[in-house]
Amino acid sequence: MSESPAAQVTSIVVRYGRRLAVDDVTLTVPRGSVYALLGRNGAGKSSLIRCILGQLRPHGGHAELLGQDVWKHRTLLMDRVGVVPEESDAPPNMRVAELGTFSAQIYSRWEQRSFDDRIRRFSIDGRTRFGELSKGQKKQVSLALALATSPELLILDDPTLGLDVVARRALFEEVIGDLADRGISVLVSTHDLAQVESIADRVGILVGGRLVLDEEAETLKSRFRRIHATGPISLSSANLVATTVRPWGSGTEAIVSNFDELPSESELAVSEITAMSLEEIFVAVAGEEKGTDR
Amino acid sequence: MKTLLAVTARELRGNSQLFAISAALAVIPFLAAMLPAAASERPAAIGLTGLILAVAIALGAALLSGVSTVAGALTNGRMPFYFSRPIPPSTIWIGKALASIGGAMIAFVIVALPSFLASGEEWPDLPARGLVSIAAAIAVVFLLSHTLASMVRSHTPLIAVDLVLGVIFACAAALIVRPILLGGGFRISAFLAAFILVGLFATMAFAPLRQLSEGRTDIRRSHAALSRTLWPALALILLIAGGYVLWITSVKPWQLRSVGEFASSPDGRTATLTGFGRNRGDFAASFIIDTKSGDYERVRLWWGHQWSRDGRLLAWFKQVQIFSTRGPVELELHVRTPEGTEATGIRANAPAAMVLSDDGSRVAIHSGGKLAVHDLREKRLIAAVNLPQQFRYPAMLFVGNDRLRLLSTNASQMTEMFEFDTRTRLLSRTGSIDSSESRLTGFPSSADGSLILLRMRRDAQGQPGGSRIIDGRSGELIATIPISSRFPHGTAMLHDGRVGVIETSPEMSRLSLYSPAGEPAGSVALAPGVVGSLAGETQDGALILSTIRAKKEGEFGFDESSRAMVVIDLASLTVRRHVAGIRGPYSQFTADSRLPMYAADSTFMAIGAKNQAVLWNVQTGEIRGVKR
Repeated sequence: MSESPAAQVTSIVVRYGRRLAVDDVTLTVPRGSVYALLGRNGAGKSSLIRCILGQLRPHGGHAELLGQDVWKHRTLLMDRVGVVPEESDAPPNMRVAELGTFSAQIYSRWEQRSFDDRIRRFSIDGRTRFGELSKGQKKQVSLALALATSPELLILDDPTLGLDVVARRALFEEVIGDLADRGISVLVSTHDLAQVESIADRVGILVGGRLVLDEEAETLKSRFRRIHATGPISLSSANLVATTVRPWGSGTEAIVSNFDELPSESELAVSEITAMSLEEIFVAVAGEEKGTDR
Repeated sequence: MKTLLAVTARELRGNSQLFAISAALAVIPFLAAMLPAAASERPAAIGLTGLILAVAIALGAALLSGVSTVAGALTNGRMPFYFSRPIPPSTIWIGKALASIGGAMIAFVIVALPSFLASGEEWPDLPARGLVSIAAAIAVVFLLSHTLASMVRSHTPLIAVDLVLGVIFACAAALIVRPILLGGGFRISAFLAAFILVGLFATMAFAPLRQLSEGRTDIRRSHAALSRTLWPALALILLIAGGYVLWITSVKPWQLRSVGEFASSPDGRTATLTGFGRNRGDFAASFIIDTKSGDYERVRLWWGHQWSRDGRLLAWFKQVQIFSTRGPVELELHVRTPEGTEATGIRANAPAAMVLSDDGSRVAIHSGGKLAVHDLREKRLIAAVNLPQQFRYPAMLFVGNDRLRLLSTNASQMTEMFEFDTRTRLLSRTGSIDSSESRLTGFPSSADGSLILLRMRRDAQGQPGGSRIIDGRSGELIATIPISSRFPHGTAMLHDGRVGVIETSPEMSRLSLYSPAGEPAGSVALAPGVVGSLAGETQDGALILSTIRAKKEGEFGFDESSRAMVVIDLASLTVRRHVAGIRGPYSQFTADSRLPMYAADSTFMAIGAKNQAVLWNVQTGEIRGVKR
């Protein structure tokens, strides 16, 4: 029997009143992979994550974690899933050490040493109240809490939101280090494309609640190219699909999404073909479309 | 359990600020006691201030916890802290509830304990039940504020639905309890109110399990899940309460196990019956029963009723409202004639005394210091007059349709006699009686009201004190009868002014008759050791006695074997009929104290075997059950 995916979302629909926040989204996070869920503000990432965590019942579809329906088996599943929330939700009057003690009573596979080591590494005093921590420290504590549960799946909802560059890097390094150690699955929704690019195996892009893109990161990067030409570009002869075509100096710039289907670059009469970063691809895909309010 | 303890402990630790504030407040009673005004009673001042502060902080804490522990956590986005961890929703709710209620109680103890220790015996007398009440009040405040906050803080249109359902619930609960209250079932009403309230708060305690299970971190769905649980559960509670009330109020006349009041109409066609059904508590069910067909009508006769002298019309008061905050409750006069039952629209504030004219065309009502005479056929007020102050315990009697005789006994035991002319609307004082030595159990009179019987109190040796016949208008003494009965209603005035007295004797009891002039007018031998009352006369010249035989000297049994109805022929002074095992009514509580005059072939309501109501035909002696 094949191993069930770390997370599987099927036709999820979420509405807030008349507004559609998540529109028929289906995605799979394979075991041992890092799935980066990207989207602009209000694209529906957090609503989708809440459904995946069993905190919000979708109006349609369902979500499974580690092969089990998350709405029905949330309590059991959360023992195997580490969560770093978008907004640090621990009670502000709770001390960092108390959070560890509390978690030790809740989780069956809690690793106190792992938690203590990370807190020490982050240079956080265990006696500090959670509410007195900086934003970055709160995220670090949340990450330490999530990783000390020995999770099979780590879900990070915009973990670097509001963090400075150094804090972002430190946080991702911590995740990468742990991933390397344990090979756990990760679902991360983020704006921090530069950081996630190096660790993501698969990428999904939400635009206006719809999952407009869901594929392997490497495939994605091989598909997209930026093409510059001194004059007009004729892509149809090469059967290339352009997501964007615009003037570039005296010439033209085009972004194509099926460059991997081109038999040979020599077939194109262009001056420059450059590979694109995840961030550039994201802007090309999501930037042109209008995100929703949420 | 480990998780529950962890959640509870965590939530309790969240109350640290509350405990700090409580500790600071604990000092206030000691500061208050230092005020000059409290110098003489310092320990008592500490105790009282401490208790008041402790209760205030405990209830305040419960209120704030109720508002914030779930609804606040949902609004502030703190609920995912629990829901992203392996904690069941039930554990989250129970842990939060226990910590909130426990926290409020700890706050109470922190404030109260120093005052309690310092005030010693001056601590306000707070029985153990008082402490339980405080704990219950904390839980109630917490649950109520949690429920309301969960609704209000969701900011959804569902709040309007909740409001409407809340009003419907309150009205339905009141409507369910109302018929029991109107039937005088105060114990059952209290039980029902307790059942509904306990059900309400139990629902409020358990509904959040579903609220958190289905709503989780979404405040709108949390509210929806709470409402979806709360209202059906409350509807079920009302359904159970309503079913219980329906069962209680559906008692049939023949199901009454303990009959309180019963009476028969003078024409013998109808009878009234009030009593209590088995397992139906203190709810008094009242019926008007057609003695021929056995048909019955449920009525409320709690406030008294009266037949017209011909028995065609029955009048009674019915409560319009259960409670009144502005004084006595309002009653409406209802009448029943062979044509049917109707509300007259005549209203009066309780307590009211009412008397009908002999033909049932008029009614006089004494209420709130006023006397009002209404025409029942035309349903209009004929005349009204303010009565003198201290007009109490009135006896009233129509002397013809236009004149009303009134007797009122004041605090100094003088009975003032008045007449009210409805044509001239004049109230005139016609005489007075020194009633200091008389029994104030009504003023039995002759049919035309010209003579009144005054039953005297027992003498110093406890012997019946005799009776007096007085003029019905002036109160002048006409005659003195040396004997009286052991029971008040064992001495009565017949419609022609004669007086009948049941004289009890262990050898041979007798019914003795006296003329209106007080002369002995014959007697009839009864069984030895008999006491009883004169229950009425019949139009063919008989007197009906309801008797009880003493088992031994001075001991009167109320079991069926000792009772009997005796019909005396007044012309021949012989016993026409002796029916053992049944008894008649003791008396009717109406303003008219005249002996009823029944039709010759009246069917008479009586109490038979196993204290059940039976119908007894005076002429034939036939006894049958009420059920047809």
